[in-house]
Amino acid sequence: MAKISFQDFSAYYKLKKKKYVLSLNKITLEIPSESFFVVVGPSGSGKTTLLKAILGGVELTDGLLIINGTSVENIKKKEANISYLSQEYSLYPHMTVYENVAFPLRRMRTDFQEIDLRVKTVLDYLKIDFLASRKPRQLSYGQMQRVAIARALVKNPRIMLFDEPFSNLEPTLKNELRLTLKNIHQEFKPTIIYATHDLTDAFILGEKIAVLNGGELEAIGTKEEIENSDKAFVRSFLSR
Amino acid sequence: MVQKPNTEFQAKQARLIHSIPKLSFGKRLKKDLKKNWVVYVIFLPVLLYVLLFNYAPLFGLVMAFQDFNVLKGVFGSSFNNFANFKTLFFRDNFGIVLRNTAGMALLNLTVGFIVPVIFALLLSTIRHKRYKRVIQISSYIPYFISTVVVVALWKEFLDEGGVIANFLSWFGFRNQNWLANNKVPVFWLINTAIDIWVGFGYGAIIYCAAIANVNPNLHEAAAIDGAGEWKRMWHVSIPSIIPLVVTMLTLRIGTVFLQGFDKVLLLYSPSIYSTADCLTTYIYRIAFAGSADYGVSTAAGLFQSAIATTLLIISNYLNRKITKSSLF
Amino acid sequence: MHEILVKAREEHYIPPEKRSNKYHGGMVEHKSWLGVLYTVILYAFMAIIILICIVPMWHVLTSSLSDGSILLFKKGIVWWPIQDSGAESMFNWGGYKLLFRNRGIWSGFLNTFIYVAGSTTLGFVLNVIGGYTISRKSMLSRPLALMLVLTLMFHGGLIPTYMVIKALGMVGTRWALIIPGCTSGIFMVIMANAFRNVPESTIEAAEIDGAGHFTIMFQVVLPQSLSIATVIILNTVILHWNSWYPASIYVPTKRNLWPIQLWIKEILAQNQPSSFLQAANPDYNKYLLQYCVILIASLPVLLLFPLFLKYIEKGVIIGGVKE
Repeated sequence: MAKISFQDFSAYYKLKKKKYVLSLNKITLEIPSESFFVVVGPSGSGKTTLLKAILGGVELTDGLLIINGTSVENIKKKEANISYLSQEYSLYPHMTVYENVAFPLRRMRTDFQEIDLRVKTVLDYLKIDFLASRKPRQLSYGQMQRVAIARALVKNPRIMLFDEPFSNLEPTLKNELRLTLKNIHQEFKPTIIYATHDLTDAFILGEKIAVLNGGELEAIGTKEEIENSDKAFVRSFLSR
Repeated sequence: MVQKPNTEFQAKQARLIHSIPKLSFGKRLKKDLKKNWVVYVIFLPVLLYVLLFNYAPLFGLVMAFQDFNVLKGVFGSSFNNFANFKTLFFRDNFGIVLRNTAGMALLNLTVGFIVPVIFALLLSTIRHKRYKRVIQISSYIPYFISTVVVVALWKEFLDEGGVIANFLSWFGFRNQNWLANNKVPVFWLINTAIDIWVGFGYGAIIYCAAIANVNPNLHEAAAIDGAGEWKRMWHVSIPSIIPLVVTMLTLRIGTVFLQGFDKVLLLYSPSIYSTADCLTTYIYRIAFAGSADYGVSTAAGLFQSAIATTLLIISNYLNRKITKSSLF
Repeated sequence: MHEILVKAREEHYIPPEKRSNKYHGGMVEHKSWLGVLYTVILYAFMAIIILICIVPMWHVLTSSLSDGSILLFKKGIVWWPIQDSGAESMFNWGGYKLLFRNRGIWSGFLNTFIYVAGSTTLGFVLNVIGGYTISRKSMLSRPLALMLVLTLMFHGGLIPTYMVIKALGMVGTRWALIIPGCTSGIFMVIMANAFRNVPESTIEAAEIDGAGHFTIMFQVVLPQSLSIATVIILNTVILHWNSWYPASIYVPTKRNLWPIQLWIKEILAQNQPSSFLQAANPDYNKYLLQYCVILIASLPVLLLFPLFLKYIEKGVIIGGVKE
């Protein structure tokens, strides 16, 4: 289905003209299809790079990254059916919420009635249908993130990438959205990869958890395995 | 996009900063083309336009070195090296043309430049907001009138019995058609006056904005110290906008040669060629009126271009020196 | 601490009756008679400035409604339409009637309209494309940007440009007035700057959703740069509306292709007072024609620019004053 596997994968990003910094160092891991996979680690450990790599957005790489049997370089973004959500504002400011959510479907040239149906369904599912005709600048940050989730969800993606999307939200809203994500995962069954530095997030959501530090994979396993891990870094990370 | 590493991470990775042997230029180009070919293809119309209308004419500059014959065309005409330039420089009126051009440019850079600044400063001392707005909007009107109309109007006013001629006669000048007056600064002053009339409102916009953006605390401090409008203008507004004024002046040096010529073309007449003729109109006349000597005309154009480019480079250099920033 | 403050306040206390009218930078200031004098002079001076700016066009308006035969000999500003002592109404519409019937002039308006619309649209598309390409992070964007910037510094000049256009077969056609001047490198650079300011995340999101470059250009990046785009369009429209010089070079003899400004120039040249005085049965309304056509040609821009004032002023500030 949508199995992702990293094999000895390294990623570099450009610091200056000729200087590159190693961002991921020989990562080998497998993300099973339809799983809820969480990547934890401190800031700067390479989580974002990992996600960007799946999108094909890292220029210089080494090693293999295979999605569904194809190497990531050979995948066209359009056909990949992936969605990506981060902390940054990514809604189109000049379009209404409805148009924002409809945008991916229009790219895929779905016909008008189906677009209408799907957008309304998704907005309803996330309980933001009353916002449909508002513009992003009229929304609160929490509402904006929900619209972003809607936009990500509406094209029924096989892979959903989340890059610390809720770290700016207050705890109640965070909880609510975490639950929403869990429900989405249960209903639509995409492969979800969720990056965060918050352990609570990881333990609540993750079926499988990977711990990254400084571009290296420190540990990987289920919640219990991580909790009982005896690796130094993992223990120190857990105690924060 | 990618998170910047914090210093702890950076320290750890310091030994891992690679000077990756860059892929050869050819390989990188190939990779880039593969990724971005759509963008480049989309760019083609622009490329076509620029090549045709901006770069192709540059080849025509070769005419400046040719004994150009229309029938033989560019490829058939023989080269005469710098003969065209010799002809150009040693013509009787070339020196006069240069003098006129320099005179008008100088006036443009001094009087013509300072008026919008002064206007903006005066405007800033007007407290009645409605009135200020009315003045501003009125001042924009001349800018939006076409050159043809502007010239027509001024021709009428400068004619014998016209408003300006009458006005000047109060000061003792003979009431005359000023556009027929061939004495030296007359036409230059007229030209500058028209430039000012057309551009002072529009040109003041940027200074008004700068004055309005001066830190209000400075004004308050001055007001507390007892400074009225006028004093505040002198001691707060003016010093604050001096950097901008200097920048604008240096930029103007670079462009002073390149504009305003169609106005002169409409204004002048053979009787005042000796003061009104400037480089651009001279080029026009050599090409389109009378001798139709394309070779010499192009040589003159090349000469003017060279001066303009030199000025542009100088002005950019000055500007950068003064403000530590550049045009591009 | 508290005692110190109280003491300070006591020492500096000024009873209300002794306080001056001075407020900090506020609306009421201590007015000296010198200040008042200055204000009066300034306001009066500005009134003169307003007159200087408005009166010429007013003069055109009133002249266009005056009696042509009297107008010929009138010197100075026409403050109100002048009529013959025996005239019935205040306004003489003869000039406008003549204008209405003049085919050539109407074709002039039509042509100007065509040139403005054509040039602006074409130029705008090129600007967006050019700006977009330069604003992307790709290998060729720098060299291409340099190529555009160089065009601002080096010009072929009058003759070479003319020859290129002639070689393209455009001399004597409408195309010479639509295509060659429609845009310039500077506009593309300005658009590129505007595009670079669009948050990268919106562009990425569109890419992930499978948007192609055209979609990104016109549906993502451009809508977020609308104010700068408006400024460029306004400037282009005004430039082309008022343009006469290219037409005088490329279509000098083809009156049916003339823009309105060229017609104005022609009418002005024809309407020398001497020709009227010599003619046997002159139609003095012809003398009015120049004023009527000037008015009608200038009216659109003059009426519309106040609406776009906000954009125009913003544009000047962003782009620095050009010319």
